[in-house]
Amino acid sequence: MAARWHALTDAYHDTPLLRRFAVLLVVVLAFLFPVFMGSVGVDDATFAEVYVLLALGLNIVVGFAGLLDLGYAAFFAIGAYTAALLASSHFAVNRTSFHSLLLTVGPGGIHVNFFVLIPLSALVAAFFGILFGAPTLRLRGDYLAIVTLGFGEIVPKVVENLGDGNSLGLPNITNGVNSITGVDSPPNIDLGPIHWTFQTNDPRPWYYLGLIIVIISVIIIYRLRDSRLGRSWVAIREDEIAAAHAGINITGTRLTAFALGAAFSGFGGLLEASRLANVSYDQFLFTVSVTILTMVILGGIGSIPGVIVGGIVIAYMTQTWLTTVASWVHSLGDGLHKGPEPVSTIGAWLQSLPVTSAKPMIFGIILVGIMLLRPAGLWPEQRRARELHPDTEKTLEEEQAELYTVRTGEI
Amino acid sequence: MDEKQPLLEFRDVDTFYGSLHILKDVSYTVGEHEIVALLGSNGAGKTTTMKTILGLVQPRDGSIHLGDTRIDGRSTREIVTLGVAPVPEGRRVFPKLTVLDNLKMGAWTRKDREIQQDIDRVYSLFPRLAERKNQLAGTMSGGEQQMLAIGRALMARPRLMILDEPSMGLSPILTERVFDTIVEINKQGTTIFMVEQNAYMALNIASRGYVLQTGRVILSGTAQELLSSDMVRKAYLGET
Repeated sequence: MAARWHALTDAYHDTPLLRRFAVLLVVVLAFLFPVFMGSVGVDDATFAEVYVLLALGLNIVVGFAGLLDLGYAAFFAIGAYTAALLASSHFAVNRTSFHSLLLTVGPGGIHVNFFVLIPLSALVAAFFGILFGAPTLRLRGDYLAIVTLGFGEIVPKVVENLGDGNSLGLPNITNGVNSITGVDSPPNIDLGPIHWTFQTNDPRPWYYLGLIIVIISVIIIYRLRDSRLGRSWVAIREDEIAAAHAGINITGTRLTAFALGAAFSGFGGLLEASRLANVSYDQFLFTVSVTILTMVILGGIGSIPGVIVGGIVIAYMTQTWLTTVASWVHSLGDGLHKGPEPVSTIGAWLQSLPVTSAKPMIFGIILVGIMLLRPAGLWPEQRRARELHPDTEKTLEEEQAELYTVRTGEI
Repeated sequence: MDEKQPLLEFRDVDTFYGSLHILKDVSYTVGEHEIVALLGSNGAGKTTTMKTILGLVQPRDGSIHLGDTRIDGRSTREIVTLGVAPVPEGRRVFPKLTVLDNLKMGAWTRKDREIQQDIDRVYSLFPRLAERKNQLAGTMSGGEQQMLAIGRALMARPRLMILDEPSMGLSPILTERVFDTIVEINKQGTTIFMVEQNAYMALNIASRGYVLQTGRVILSGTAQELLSSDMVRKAYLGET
């Protein structure tokens, strides 16, 4: 433990001063964000936090280990349903009742404390990651992508069909299409100057909770990336055969990537379930998997800051920016409508232009534009000290010259 | 070499790709501290031999021994951990990792604290790698990548290094350098089993050799015997 802590402080001290300052500034600004923002803005930011967590998790699978996962929303669903089933009135226990700080069981349902659910949801998601990964991770590339696509379809379908009166004759496990409502909020926190009451009308405690989970996740993922395991992921991504020759267990290592990637979506699912107090199978369909994958690719595959930026950009784009663009277009139309013909005709057209329903198209155009202009992503992975030595070319020349003089000397 | 306990031994090994019979009743022995060359034309089964050692292809018949341990049926990871380090055909360095990171990958199976010493040892063997330690391996020349592949294999502190065509795609001068290094590595205590098309160069540094033809060992002996055999002279050294 002490060694690990030293490794962490060493990593901190190895970081250039400017970078340390920049990171500190971002964290401080993130904590101050709710002070400047209205509650709608903070709510959107919390939504972005959930997606940043998901993108960070998927980045382990896609970015570090190079496994294309098209069904990542399945693990998001598993995390969310773990929280929903274990912290709501869904499973009423009529015979016995038990009450404690960490767990309450009784006719009012099973209620596991939120802070117990944090590791639990990650563990359950990781378990399903292993369950799905173990039989399939011997596949590569496109084939694996199709299998993950299958899992992404299966999980919401299973959830949808395991409700009341399901055709399998099983008890009501997921409440099916009726979704699970009334998911518990985290307990109120009273720590010195901090008083957090988790209510639906105040998004700030949720935002701070999400921010703390994101920061801890980022630290863990940085440590993972630079660990022995992280290096083996990169080696497999680069050249599977060479990695095997170095003594790496290919399938086992890929499985850890799958499981750890899934674990972070467990955090995301938990946060989303308790924030919305409501979990439904249709929150986890294919489009969600694609959106998360888009965040990773747009931000920069394998790059932790890139993926965070990608997550924030896409979350905001889908949540608010496109709505803002719509209102801009409409107010532009209002202005033009007052002008002379034919400008006023254009104004009238713009006034009633259904920009909001064209969201997917605008979204698509923006994506195409970004990928054309920055194909490696908004913030591509930085390779550590990869610059060429300035005198490399010279040494090469010298060495070749030396080789040939030796040769001619011999002859 | 006969009195020594062999480090690597193939006993009547048969391998197949599907129904295709590749290695036919093949036996090799490689003694401790030897350099043994495996010669053969295209399709003779040289690379299959390497894959069989590494467990990438499992023999259907016969057995393979590393010292006292039987290694057929084991996974590549186990075999590598037991002390076999491959320098694969076509080098297969990790192109987007730096030279230093490539070397560290070679020490993957090790848990001791002497890795830095071995990195320095590789650097002293290949000063060029030291100059380029922060360069991406994929941006280096073929010869440098070959040096890196050998250096990476050395990082595992192998008992047996197996090289698959170390001269492939290299200029004659660079080939000579690579072979000099192989001799140096051998002197430092590592046993070498190499597949090579360049029979003359290989037999010059090897103590013994095997000639493989369509999956069978048709000739074996000391390097001197092979170099003077008519068959080798005609088939591999271009003499008529």
